[in-house]
Amino acid sequence: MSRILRLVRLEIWRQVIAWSGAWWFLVTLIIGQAVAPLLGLFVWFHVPGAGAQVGSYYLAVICVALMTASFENHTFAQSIYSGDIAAALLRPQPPVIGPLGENLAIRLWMLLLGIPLITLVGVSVGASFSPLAILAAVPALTVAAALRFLFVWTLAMAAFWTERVHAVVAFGGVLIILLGGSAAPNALLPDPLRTIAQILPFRSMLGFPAELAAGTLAPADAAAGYAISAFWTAALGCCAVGTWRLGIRRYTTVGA
Amino acid sequence: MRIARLLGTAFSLSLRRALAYRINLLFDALLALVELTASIAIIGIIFTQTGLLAGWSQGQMLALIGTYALITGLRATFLDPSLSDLSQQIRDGRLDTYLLQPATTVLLATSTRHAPLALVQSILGIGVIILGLHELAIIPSPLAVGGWILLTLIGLLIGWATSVALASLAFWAPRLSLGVLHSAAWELGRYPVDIYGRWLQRLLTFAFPVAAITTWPAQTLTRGADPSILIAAILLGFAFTAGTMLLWRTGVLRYTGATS
Repeated sequence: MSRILRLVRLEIWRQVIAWSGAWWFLVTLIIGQAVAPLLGLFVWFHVPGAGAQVGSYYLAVICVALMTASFENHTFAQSIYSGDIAAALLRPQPPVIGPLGENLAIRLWMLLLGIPLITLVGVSVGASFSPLAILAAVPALTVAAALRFLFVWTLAMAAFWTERVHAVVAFGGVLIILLGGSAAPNALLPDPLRTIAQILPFRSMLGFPAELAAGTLAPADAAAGYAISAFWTAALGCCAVGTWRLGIRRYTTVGA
Repeated sequence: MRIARLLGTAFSLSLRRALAYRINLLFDALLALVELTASIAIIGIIFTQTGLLAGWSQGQMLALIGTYALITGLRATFLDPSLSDLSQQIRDGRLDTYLLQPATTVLLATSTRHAPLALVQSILGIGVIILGLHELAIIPSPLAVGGWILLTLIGLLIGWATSVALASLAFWAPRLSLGVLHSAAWELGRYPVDIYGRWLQRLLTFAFPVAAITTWPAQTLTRGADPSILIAAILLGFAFTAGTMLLWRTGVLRYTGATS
């Protein structure tokens, strides 16, 4: 286990250095991730019944979006198309370490370079968070980061079967925006959409940690949210392993 | 006329190529349908909490979402395939191919590769506009429809001009890639500019005129044609096109090709 952690740490470091030259591109990625929550913020500011915490909530959503962003359809899926994944298969380490390390390195850069945007939005909306609420949100944020990676990585494995991987991942992205808490906070969704959104995994990837940080959840709802997040992490973990096993059987490298 | 024939031939070639992959058509149609359904659902969610959004009713918002889908579909069909790697072409010298051909370089480089399957989004967009007008229970006057068509075309022209202008910066800064930034700014057109703050509204009217791309066409269709809006849109379209052409020509003069 410590060997795996060491390998992950090395991969993150390698990718942090590799991405350090692409800071301008990373800035465009940050804006790309922040635009959907910003749109939600602008819209709900104009709705009188949205509540006073809507500014803090959307600021938290932006932070969660930056810290959980996943681009495996651009990184991992391209290595399937190009055949580069063959090299990873030959290494004496789990093949997930490569995409995981790159994912975490990109998130680190996005968080670092996103600080000015977070500060600007925070000052503009007059956001305020209690330290206790932030502490309660940290485990949910970690689970959201794992869930989002597992979700996008599994969808990106569609590259084993089709060349339309971007469409497949975009479909997942639409669900995250609609049901995850970016288009509207969960509390403002009409029933039965609210209940459906609470049961599905998309809220756990984005809106749930933000709701905890903004302090808009009752303790019972927070506990239910954590239980749902834990269930979906296990379920998506199994899905990712199953899809990988099926996909790798189908994979034939360049020239084979 | 020659340009129209050239674009027609390019579209015909792209269509034949696209129809060879019918599963892709299914993917694109499904994705367009899901994205548009989600947009309509979001409008529905917002209007369960309020009757008006910055002065826009649900029917007007549907007309705006439909117009956005229509223009985005047209952009994805006729412009994006060529513009997506224009900076890369400038960088690696593939622009040489266009410079040597006997037609307008900027047109060849930016509008001759098409993705006909993306037109599905535009067709669905027209459906949403009709839905919005049905919700409003109005039949727009011929003047309003004419104004909407003109403003939609100007919106497309501005979309082309801003994309080409950003890609042209590669003549000076080869590693600069602003395509994602353009797409993010384009997303702001999903809602009327009235929801943004005063400074952002000005920015979205004069610097990156999202107002002219979606807000004004939808406003004209649902509230009637306003001559001042039409004049402002024509002036903006002209200014952005002229600015882009100037930037392109200056950039091409600086361009040294792949091997020089």
